[in-house]
Amino acid sequence: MTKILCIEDEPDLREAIAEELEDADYTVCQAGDGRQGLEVILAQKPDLVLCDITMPNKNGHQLLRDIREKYPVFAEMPFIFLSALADREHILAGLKNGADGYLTKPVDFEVLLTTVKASLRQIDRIKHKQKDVVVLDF
Amino acid sequence: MTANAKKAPVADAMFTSAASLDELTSLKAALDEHAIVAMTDTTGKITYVNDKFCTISGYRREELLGTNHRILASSHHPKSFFANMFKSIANGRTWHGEIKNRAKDGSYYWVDTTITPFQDASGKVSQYIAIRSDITSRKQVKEELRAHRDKLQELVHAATQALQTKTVALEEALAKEKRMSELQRQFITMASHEFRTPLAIIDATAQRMQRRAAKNRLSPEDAILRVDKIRAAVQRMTRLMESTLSLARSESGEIKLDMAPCDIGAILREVCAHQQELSAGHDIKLDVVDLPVTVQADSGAVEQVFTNLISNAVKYAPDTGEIQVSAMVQDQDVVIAVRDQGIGIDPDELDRIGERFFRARTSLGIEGTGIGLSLVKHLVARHDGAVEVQSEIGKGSTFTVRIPMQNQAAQNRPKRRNKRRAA
Repeated sequence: MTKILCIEDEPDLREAIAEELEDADYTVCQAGDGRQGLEVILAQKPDLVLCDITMPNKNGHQLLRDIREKYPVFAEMPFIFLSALADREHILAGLKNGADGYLTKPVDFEVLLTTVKASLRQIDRIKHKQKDVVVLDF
Repeated sequence: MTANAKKAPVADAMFTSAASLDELTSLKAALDEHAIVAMTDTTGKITYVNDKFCTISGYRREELLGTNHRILASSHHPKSFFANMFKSIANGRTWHGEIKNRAKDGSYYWVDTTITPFQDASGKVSQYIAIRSDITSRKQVKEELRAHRDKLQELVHAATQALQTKTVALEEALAKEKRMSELQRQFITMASHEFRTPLAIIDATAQRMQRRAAKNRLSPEDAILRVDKIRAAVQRMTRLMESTLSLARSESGEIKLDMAPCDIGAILREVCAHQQELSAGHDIKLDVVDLPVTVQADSGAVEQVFTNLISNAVKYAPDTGEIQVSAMVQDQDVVIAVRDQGIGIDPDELDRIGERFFRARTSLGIEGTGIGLSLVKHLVARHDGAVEVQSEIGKGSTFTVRIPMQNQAAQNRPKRRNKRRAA
């Protein structure tokens, strides 16, 4: 079962998102800030991370930088920002920083689920392609 | 200019002939037309003066003859000036220079002077002949020119100073404007973020309720729980809106204080009790000592000040339980201190605490708009009071408010007395 990590410092919002994802048949793990988020990523190796930006301890940008720079093993793990920083400048900064998607709050859950699915589908395609290449080589 | 002393004319053979005497008379007449002439003995006693000398000095000839030349001294020149002059002429050298003299009527005049010493038959200096030209006008013009130049220099200096002061003031104003503009930009981003967060909670909770209801999975208990979350988020938005509006009102001077005798201790107790209800994870300890019950203040403003300070203490000390609130009388002030053991503030930022929209580095990731303390500062200043902050990173902050018991703010006179003290 596909595992999604939701990192969000607002507990009410985090729980609502987790519930929505669970309803869509994903396994969900949660973290309340960036530092805790990193620990969960390393321990539980989620298939996708949905992450807030403005958080105590370690913000979303710092966490994403850490993952991309220090943990290449998670290079294929889609990382999607879900932030209340909703202007163009912040969206561009998030995507330039290496995020695979940027959703703004408040978020329509249909859009959230579709974005998550699209990201996972893309990863699936890449993985299949890599498998095919190996077969051809043989 | 120097030259050897001349022999006395009476001793010169060339002046013995009648023709030469005529020539000499003519020369003297020409000289008298042009110059101011005087003769003195070696002690300075005047032995001869021509008409021009009398005219310029204002003395009659009989007043001058036999009088020491010192009578014309103006006190303008230092003693060394005349000492040098006498040294030259006494040694037989001609002296040339400009002298300021004082006329009989007290007015001053300048003369360009050549003093020639003359020797008697034995070769000893026996008299001096001084030939002078009146240069008072030239000197005056020069003086006026110098005065003009000095005045001009002063004006240029003053203008430069004024320009520099203006430039500095303009640069400061520009820097302040830039800083305000940057703070305002940050505020808009922050306010947008702060409004969107409770909105996101409301929207997400509502969406979840809708989905569960559609699948008949929303029990009344569950619905109540979720509606509570929505209402809490609505309250959060309302508070945010109110604080933004309060700031706008304080800036436009719309906050009118209603000064009346206030029981500050009672207000503090109420605020502490309310904040305690809102944050069960904290232990708000209140220590009130003998506060007067009739301090002139606006009770609403005082309540707002206490609410902002205590809710801040809760917010910026998320992992430590105890908040200490104390109130006492010190000198002529009521002093209220709110102490937390939270994240603290960097020392280099203490001076900016209370600046509109400013948020300390340590507040990163903690909700807020940089309005609350700015409002505290404004309201306390309106009471002729002061706000101080002491803080240490990782150890917490103490905000101290002083409100004078007999303040002048009853007339709504805005007066600042704020000062801060670094930890």
